[in-house]
Amino acid sequence: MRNKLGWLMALLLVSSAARADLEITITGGETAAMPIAIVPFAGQDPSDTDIAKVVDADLSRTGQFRSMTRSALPELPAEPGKVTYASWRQVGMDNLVIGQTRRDAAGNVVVRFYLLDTVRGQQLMAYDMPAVAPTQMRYVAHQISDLIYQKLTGIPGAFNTKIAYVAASGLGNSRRYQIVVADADGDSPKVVAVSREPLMSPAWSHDRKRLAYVGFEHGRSAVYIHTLATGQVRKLVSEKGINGSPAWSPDDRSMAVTLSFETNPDIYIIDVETGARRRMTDHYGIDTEPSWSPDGQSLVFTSDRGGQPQVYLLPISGGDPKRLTFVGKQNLRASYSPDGKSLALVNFDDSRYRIALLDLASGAMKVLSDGPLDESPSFSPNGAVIIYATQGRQGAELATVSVDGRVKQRMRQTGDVREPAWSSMAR
Amino acid sequence: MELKPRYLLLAFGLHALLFALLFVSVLFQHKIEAPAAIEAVLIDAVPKSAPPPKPQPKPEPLKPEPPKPPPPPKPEPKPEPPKPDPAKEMARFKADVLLKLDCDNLTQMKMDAAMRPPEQRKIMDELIRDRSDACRKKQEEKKKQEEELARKQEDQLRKAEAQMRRQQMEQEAKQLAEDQRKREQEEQRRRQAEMAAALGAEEDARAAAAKAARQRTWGDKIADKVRGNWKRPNGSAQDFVCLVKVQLLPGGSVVSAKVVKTCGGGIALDDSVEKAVLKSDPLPMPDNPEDFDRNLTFQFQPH
Amino acid sequence: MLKKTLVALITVAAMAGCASKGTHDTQATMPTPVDSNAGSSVGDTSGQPVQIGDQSDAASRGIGLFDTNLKANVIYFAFDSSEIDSDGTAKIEKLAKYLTANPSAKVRIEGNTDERGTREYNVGLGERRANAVQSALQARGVSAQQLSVISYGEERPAAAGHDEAAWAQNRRAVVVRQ
Repeated sequence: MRNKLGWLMALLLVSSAARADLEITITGGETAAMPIAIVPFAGQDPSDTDIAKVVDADLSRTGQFRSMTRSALPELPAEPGKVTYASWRQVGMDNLVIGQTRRDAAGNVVVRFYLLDTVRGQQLMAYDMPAVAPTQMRYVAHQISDLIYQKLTGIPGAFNTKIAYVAASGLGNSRRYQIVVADADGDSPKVVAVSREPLMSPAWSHDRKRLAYVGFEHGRSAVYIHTLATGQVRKLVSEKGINGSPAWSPDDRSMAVTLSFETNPDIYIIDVETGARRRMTDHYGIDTEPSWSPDGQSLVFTSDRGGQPQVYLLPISGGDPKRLTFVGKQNLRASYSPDGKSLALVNFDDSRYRIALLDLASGAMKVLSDGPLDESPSFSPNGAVIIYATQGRQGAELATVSVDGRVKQRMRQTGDVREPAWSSMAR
Repeated sequence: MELKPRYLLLAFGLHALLFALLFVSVLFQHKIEAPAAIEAVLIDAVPKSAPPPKPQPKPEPLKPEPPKPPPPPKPEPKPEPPKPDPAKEMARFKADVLLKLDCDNLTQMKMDAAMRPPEQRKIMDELIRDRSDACRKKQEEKKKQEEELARKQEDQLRKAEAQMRRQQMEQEAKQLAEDQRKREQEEQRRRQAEMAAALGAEEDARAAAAKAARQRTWGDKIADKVRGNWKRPNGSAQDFVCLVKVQLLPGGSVVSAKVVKTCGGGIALDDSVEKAVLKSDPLPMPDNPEDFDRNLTFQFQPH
Repeated sequence: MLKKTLVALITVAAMAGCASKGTHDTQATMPTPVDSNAGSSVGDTSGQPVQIGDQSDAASRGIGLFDTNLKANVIYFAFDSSEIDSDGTAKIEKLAKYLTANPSAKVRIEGNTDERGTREYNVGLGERRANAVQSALQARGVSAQQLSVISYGEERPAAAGHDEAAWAQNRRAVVVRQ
């Protein structure tokens, strides 16, 4: 009798549950790039920068978006009223970018674009971009990419930023070194400095107006500050021995550098304006590769004071450096993420040098790249990806990896390129 | 009035015990089916129609009467001149005393004898003694008879009582048996009703379970379609659970799909689960239209 | 005051509500300026690249003992090491003999590493090798005035390639006649 009652209760429960919302569990799904179709903008001259193409390349390069080849586009609308949402849904394009350009009276280009959600049949965004000279259309395109990226991912885009890197070519007497500045997509590379002797360690000021880098002259190294708009170069420091590893403080007023003139390589902070120096470390080991925390309160640097090079933390106020890395045989050249929560660094496991991410709160290290000779990690200013140098089939090249390690992209560059540095976003 | 705590505790304890026993008895009433006779003993019900007979008043023992004052002594007869024949005199005296003497005046006669001349006193005493013995015997005899009578009467009374009581008990038993029968019938009816109700509920529940099962099948069909349309963003979180409330039109068209519990991996991930539903519009319909539900909750999880 | 604020808030909220509804709003809006000097002026560069350092060749000016092609002035090192082996010691003996005999001669010791490890750390490592050679020469009577030290780290490889053969050629200190 009681058993029967129990069974009855169970049945009643089942039937009462069935009266609530029907629950459906969906387990799985695939990870995939977000589909986005970018229709060629109407009103463009053949000689103009192809805005849709630039936006397409920007978004695709992140690995987070999948675009559609032009020949496959079902229609070529230039305004929302002309869009047949169903035909875009049919080809699986969840997002659609359309737009048009026109010349104003002054001959400048005005770009209007729309971002549409074809699944919901909604307009997500519509902008008239500020008028620009025809030669600047590329930057308008990057701005459009930024707006779309932020709308769809919630993260600010970093397409309208610059990278600086070192390019080298030739061997022996014909070897030449260059500091190159390019758009973040690698486009429009511009050589800003050349030398027969090595050029090293380019570092962006946070106002994006100056580069610091290392050069050699008359058998001496020096840290230079190069104002990009004017081409003016000045020596910040050129002591006997090593002058290296420049790193701008967050307020651009100070530069952390490595100098060895007093004994051996140690970290110093130099006032950019006055040249006043403050020695931060004093150890017989090699102390080098300083990086400022975003709050300007501390430095991380590489030191082999423990035998092998590892990353140490040093408060600007002074004190004993604290070792941060314990995983792997060596850890070097750490740099802070924009949010200050993690470090990108080079991890050596006794066979490969790979880019790794160190979570400062947990101490967890996550290897992001494959090696074997990866180096010079630098965060994108939105913190989403890390650019680094790696050995490709045709020599050193630049690559990016998303901070979760899942999306890797190689940037096609010619020559031996290394030491990429990503500029900040505008403040 | 002061109550000692331990008495209060005891009282509470006893009540609790009583309650527990009641509860236990209720709990087990389906299990323990006591034999009717014992049940009848347990139940203290006495039929109102037959009041218990009052015990017959027992015969009261008679009260002894207060002793009568002795009669005034009779004037002494003047001594007669001596009789010429003292033997004759004595015999006459003897006969006289015997005449006077009875069982009720033995004490008076003893006092009378005490005042007589020795010869007479002697005769009287003898006579009194004899008579006293006879009287005592007679008295005893009488008492015996009376006791016998009383015993007989009591016996009869007892028998009558027993008879009555037996009749009474028979009637009570009959009544109890009747009650028990009624109760059992009632219980039988109740059980039958309960079984009937249970069978009805079971049927409902079975129907609901069957519906739920069919709805699960429908849900599986929906899940298959939605899963095929779910594309999570590259590099998005690997461990999450999010809930999407979905409203349908009667034909299965999706009216709305809204994340009610975020996946926690940014807007693109939340958007991916909503779009998975929207892209599956219209959702497959159940085979049985009765199984359709306008409001669905989708739980999305990567594994 | 509170009332006004509330009214203002409600108005803003209502406007926000309208704005977010923009499904059928085809009117484009102006973007918030992403950067006051957006576009071309970001990291703008002057027309011509600047020339850093010496215009003439810095390397291979020596002859004989200092002819880099003959390797008599090149001391090699093991991976991650600044210890001078017997072969290196022999070369240092010859160099010391020459320098003590020619006190006016000045040399620069250039420390180099292979490509493994990070560049600035390798500059430090290269300096350690150059310093080791400098100490060895001074221990053999060479005056400090005759010696200077520089490290190029991995920046000036003698051999291309990403294998031990190339790396072994590049882990070196070169004594250059000035």
